[in-house]
Amino acid sequence: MKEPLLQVDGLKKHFVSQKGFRKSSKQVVKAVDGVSFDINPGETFGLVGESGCGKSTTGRMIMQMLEATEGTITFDGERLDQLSGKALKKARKDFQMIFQDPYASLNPRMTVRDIIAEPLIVHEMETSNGIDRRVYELLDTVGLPRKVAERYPHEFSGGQRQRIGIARALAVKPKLIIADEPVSALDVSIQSQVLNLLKDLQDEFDLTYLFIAHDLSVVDFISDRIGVMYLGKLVEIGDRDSIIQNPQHPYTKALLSAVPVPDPRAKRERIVLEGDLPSPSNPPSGCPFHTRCPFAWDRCVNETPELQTAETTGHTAACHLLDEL
Amino acid sequence: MSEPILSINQLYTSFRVDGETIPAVEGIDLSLYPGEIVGLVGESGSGKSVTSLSVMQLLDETPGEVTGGEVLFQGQDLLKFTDRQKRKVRGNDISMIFQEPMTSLNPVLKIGKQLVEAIREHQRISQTDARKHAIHMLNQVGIPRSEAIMNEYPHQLSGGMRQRVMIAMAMSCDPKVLIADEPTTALDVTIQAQILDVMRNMRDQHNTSILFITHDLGVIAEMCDRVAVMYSGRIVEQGSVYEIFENPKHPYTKGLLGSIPKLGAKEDRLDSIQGQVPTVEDRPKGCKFANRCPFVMDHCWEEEPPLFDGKNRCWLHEREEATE
Repeated sequence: MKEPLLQVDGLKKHFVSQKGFRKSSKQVVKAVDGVSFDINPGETFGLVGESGCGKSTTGRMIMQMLEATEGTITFDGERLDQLSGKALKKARKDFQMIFQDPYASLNPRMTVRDIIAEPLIVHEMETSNGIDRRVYELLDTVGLPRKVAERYPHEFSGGQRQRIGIARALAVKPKLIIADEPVSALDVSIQSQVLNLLKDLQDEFDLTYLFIAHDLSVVDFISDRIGVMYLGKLVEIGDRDSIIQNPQHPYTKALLSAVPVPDPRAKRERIVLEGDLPSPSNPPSGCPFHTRCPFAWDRCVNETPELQTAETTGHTAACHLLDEL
Repeated sequence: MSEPILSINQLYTSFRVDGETIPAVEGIDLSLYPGEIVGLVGESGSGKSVTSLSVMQLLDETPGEVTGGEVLFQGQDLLKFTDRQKRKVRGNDISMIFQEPMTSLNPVLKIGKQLVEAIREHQRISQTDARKHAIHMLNQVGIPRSEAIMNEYPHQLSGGMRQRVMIAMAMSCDPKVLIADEPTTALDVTIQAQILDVMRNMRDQHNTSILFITHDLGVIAEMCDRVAVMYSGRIVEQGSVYEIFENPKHPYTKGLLGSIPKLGAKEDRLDSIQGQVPTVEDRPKGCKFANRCPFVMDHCWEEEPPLFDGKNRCWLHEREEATE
């Protein structure tokens, strides 16, 4: 058994906002509240959930763009959360990010060549002669013509910009790529091109992905394993097929049943959830899902369920009624 | 078969930018029958939203202008209406809901005031009765504690609740036609499911015809009776929801359906469409899909195909007919 490439254990992020006159009262928003998972080398782990569930915050903490309130992040045997300065910069070479908004994540005043070359220069990976060769190589890899190197981001469509962002992430030959909603701003025909590209790159360069998205069909397509988040907690985690075919947590079931299927004859046994997502600044007691769960009972209100393995499927879910529903 | 309630005939809309005319919609024909939900699907820039704005005549604030065609509502051409007549129809006989409920509600007015205003614009009823009707509409779209919400401001509500308020407002005068432009795109899937339910109930109870504009083929399959697929300002294929999803004819429709990942399908690759939507200047002379089409023939570059049988704009279809 290989060691996991990334191990996240008990990760928490609590944002403190000060309210009121003279900022006298404090409000704590538990954006991420105790999340643990492993990602094995070469694997795609999909983190899925609705807006505000903490999936992006989790990604940003792993990227060291946000400091975790609690918990550990171990990447390739090293505790990322304890690194800083030069050691962190050195480690960063091995994990890169692809962002959601291809319009906001590329500097409009830099040419495509400079955008892709920047990480190479920062990490001193190529000599000045080598940089051009590498930039062309990367453009070939992501399917853009070499002549675009001299152009600026505004000259490109969303899908092409996302390819530039992918080339930049690949430049330093990372082991792990964290992709935060990389296709949600794209039209479906372009989305499918980028998803296919990400799969091809994974095979070619032996990449490991943390793929963060709200779209279950997309996460299902790309992932080997899936984690479902709700209100800052992982409520279910397991192999892709097991989660999609045999969801155990009532929230995962509702989420799956809510996805519109492109088949007009599909029989829908939809579980329509009542109400809205509670605010993470005032989360419900006990199980975070009990306010919307059709099966909630006394224990759910009082006691927070831990992740445990379901006997029927072998994957884990956090529900008091596991194996009983 | 009954008469269509709304029929769009040879609609042309273009935008004037820097002295140049950019065509956005080029000759659309589409009919909406009573109680029917018709889906208008396409990618960004296909002209689907411009079509809806042209029907509602909301292009005044933009550089856009309807340059040809007619939009018949119960036999009368909306495009020839005076401002006064337009105001009478809009929000009363035909209403519209938009993608972003926050920008369509007035942030400084209470929900109740906005609803009452919309109702009294079209109905001669007292303030008290209008208020009662507004609360009734909020209940119909499934808003809990509707009376309290009447006194709240839009920012106090969640996205899903705001969209419900928009639907309540749009439905408050019992319109015959509802135009919904990406009404659930900004919402999470569990909330989207709630809103789609509300819209279906509205149709069932009031026999409202809905023109449903979206890029999401899943939503189309779930909601619509008929579908029109738009590409580069044209309808390239239309038919019943079963025809479109089970037996698509146009290569673009096929490509679009192949592009979406299907839940639980365990696919290894998606059948994607190569290239990207051409800009207006780069549109091919013949078929607008020629540069991305896997079945392109010489003829396709030369001459644009008509809408064969009113169903499908592709030369391959003509050949099929000839061989049959």
